[in-house]
Amino acid sequence: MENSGTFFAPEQEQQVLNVRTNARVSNGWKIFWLVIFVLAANLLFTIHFSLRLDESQSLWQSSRSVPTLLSIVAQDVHVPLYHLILHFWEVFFGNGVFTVRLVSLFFFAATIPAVYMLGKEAYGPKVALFGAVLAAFSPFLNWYGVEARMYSMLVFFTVLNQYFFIKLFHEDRPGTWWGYIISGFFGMFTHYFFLLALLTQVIYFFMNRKLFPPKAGKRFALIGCTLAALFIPWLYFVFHLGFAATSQPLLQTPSTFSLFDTFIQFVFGFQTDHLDTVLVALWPIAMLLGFFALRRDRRSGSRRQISNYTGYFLLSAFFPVIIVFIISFVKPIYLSRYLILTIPSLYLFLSWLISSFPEAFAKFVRVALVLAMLVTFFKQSVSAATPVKEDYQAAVQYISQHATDQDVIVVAAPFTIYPIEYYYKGSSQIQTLPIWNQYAHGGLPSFDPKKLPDQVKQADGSAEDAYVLLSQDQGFNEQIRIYYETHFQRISSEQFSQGLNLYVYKLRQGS
Amino acid sequence: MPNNIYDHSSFLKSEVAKSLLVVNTILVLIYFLAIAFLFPISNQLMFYVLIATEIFHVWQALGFWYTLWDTSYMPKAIVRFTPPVDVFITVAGEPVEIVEETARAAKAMDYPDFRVFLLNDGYVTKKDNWQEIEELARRLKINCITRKVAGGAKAGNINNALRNTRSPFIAVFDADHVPHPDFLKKTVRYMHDPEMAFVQTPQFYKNYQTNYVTAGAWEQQELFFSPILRGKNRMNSAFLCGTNMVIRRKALEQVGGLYEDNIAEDFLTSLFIHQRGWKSVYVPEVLAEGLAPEDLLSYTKQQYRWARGSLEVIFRHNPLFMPGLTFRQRLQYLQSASYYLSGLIVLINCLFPLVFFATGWTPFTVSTMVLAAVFLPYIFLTIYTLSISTNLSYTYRAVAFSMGLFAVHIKAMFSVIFQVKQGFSVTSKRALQGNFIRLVIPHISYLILTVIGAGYALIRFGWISAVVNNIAWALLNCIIFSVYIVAALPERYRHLNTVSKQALPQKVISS
Repeated sequence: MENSGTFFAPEQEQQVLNVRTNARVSNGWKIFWLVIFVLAANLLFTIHFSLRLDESQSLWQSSRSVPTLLSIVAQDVHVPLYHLILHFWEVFFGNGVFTVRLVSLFFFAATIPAVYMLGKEAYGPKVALFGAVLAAFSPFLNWYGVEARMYSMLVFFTVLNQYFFIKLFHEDRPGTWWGYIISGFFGMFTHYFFLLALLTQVIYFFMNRKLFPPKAGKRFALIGCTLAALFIPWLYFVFHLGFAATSQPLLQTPSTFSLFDTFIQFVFGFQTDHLDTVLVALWPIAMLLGFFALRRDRRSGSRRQISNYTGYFLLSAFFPVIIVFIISFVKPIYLSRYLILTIPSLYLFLSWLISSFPEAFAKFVRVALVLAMLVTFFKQSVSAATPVKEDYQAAVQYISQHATDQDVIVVAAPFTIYPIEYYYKGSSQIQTLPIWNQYAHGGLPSFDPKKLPDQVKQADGSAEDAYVLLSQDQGFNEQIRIYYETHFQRISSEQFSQGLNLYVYKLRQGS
Repeated sequence: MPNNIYDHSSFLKSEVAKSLLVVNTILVLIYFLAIAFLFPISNQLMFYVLIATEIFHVWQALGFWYTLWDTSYMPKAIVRFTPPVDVFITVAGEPVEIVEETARAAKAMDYPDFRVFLLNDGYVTKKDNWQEIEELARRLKINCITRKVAGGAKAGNINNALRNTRSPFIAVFDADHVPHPDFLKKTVRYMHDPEMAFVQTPQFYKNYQTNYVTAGAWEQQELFFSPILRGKNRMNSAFLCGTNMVIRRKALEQVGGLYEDNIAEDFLTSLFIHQRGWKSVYVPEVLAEGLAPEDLLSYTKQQYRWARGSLEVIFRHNPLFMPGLTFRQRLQYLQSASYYLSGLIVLINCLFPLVFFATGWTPFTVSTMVLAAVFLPYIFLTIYTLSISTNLSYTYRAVAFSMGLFAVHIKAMFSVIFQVKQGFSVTSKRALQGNFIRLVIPHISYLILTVIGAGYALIRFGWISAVVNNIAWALLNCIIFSVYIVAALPERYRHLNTVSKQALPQKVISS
């Protein structure tokens, strides 16, 4: 009687086992070296960059007591897990820029093998390895991999959660369900956008119920209720405080350019507007990806299947981005870093797609893509024109060298006081425009042009010179600059990174 | 057979979800309405030309989705219905060994009452081996009708045989289309319905893996012989394809036999038969296997013949104005015939970037990202649906071959319009040697013009998004055409890799 499966002849079986073991060991080393690359590139290089605005907020928030921290984070429309971890990390290891960034770097480094595991579960080691390579060399992930914010943690827990989710396609073990629940719990309290990952899974489940074990629907419902029950107290706390009192910058309604630029950023990181425009304009070439997928495997002649995993990764790479884009026309919440959780799915999808090309062409595409990512990673790191660079350290260094205790430092937008206060140890007073007390309850003050003269007078006080540092424009920086230009004599001006400008004005004549 | 060997019936096993077709329809309409009414017009001539091409695309797309709506319909069959059948094998100079294989297989069909006839046109077409065909018939103890009076090409040959035979049904095979033993059993059963005029089965190419051209030729056929013909069943508009078919003598005689004044005699004869109210059915099962053209010259001759014949239907026997057809039959015939106008559409679309390079003209003024936002969802879903509709058998090469035939289709169109005389030529069953670069001069010219035009535009306009976007479009066309250019290369460059037996696991049979 013929066996229904396919077996190897005995002498071949050992050969196959040896090949598989060697491949596993070999890939293990490759993942190890990818992690080493990530650690080395960031520890030696990017971790030493200036503190960024958002990081300074994280530091300020996490330096408070736990109850205060929870209250501030709730008002800031974030969830508290990262801040809590950072709080206790600082207790043990201090609050230096290098130290606090290590938390994010740890999660980023752990994401590399996690992406490999996820890819291996779905496609096998080859596709998984290239997905991990993309993650390790990703300019975008590397940028946020050393930012003292929750983004690399968000990616890590998303990948873990996705891993357990796809395991449920073919197994029904308690360990898998618990892994799913626990990673979901941590993800939920890392960033609100993690809920998009869960929503994607809900949609996928309803589209493909037959994939899952029996009673999976009931189990998912139970898990959903449990997670909701754990989350609702936090939501109640947030509503109770009134989450209009946010100190976050205002977001703008995204355009179609933003949508496509997001995916360009996910692959090539933060580049100049012109380069971004050129890359985005190449979108017709993306159609080739679709056409190339219509290939038959040349070696076996068989049809190339679109697996359930591919369907899932496609959905989880694009659905959250599109849904947030649409929502942002009502309530702007679109920021590419918030959508960082979609990147591993995108990379695994790309890795699978490339694996479907003819072998020689696939090799060429892989090499070209990795080289392009490395070049753009390097460019992003060294170029002063990188849009997201915020060199507050250089700005404060300059101010420290030139300002005296007779001078005043005026910052706008108001929340940019955080990085200034972090670095500045001098004796000049620091004021914000509009005037804002970040320690008082409530959100950012709104800008009123009619009140500007009084506020400038109040901010400047009796200072000799004003060091006006403008960044993170909320729509009024130019008005502030023009006011100073027309009422005072400008002594000097400097630009430290894109959108971060210092203007020095003499407030008193004859001094 | 190992599981990963290509299953040549796999392309027939597909169902497309109706929801997918609905979404496709919505997306194509959104795309069309956006470009027709929402985008500001830039150059009027280009705009209206573009709209005309998009109307053609929308027409083809909607027709295709409608055809796919239900591909499961099959009329009732009665297995016990086994009337006498005359089996015609049309011969016009094909190698004797090819004819012998077909004749032997025809003789071996498992059916109670049939006679095999070689319809020998070698004499009237002045082929050297016409007497060998007669000798073959004697040897195999089958009938041979050698025509001594020329006229009507293959249609005339069959009509001549009709006059010399008497069974109520005829089965027709080309000289290279080898029937399976169950061909007659599985087709004649549908003829129990006295209104059933003919039964058509797929034209499968058993040599599809021989080389690049045979693979491309077959992969193109998969779309037609799977979802399209299957979908036509429910609208009683499946038409004759020239071989692998069974026809009721009475229906054929009612329309005066196969139409002799059109080189796509099968297509037009079907139309006349349907006009008389007869029914037809397509049986989606590979029941005979033929040979694809093995070189580009033979392939383009075949495609030219099909294009010419179909386009004559539009210009001289337009189904919209022919009485006796149902509304759906009119649309289906028009849909199939008008496909061959796509050559002109492809050329126009390919010229748009070149016009921009030379002049800077565009059809409308809109951000390239907005265009991408309405176009990409539609095109990706279309590609996906095309792929799913053939159970993932439709390939990138098939798309490339279809587009690459633009020059052939345009030539056919002008031949019909200017009524250029065209004789019938049999597709060569053996690969013609040499390279056929002359057949791809238009495509190579396009590549050259793209390089020159892109360079000129970059110098003149710089690296602006419009230039980059048009370069991307032109590059896309060049990459697609390159597939067709490869097909024109000498034989040694066109071989596919055959299935590697070493890659296959050994199958262990246990008792």
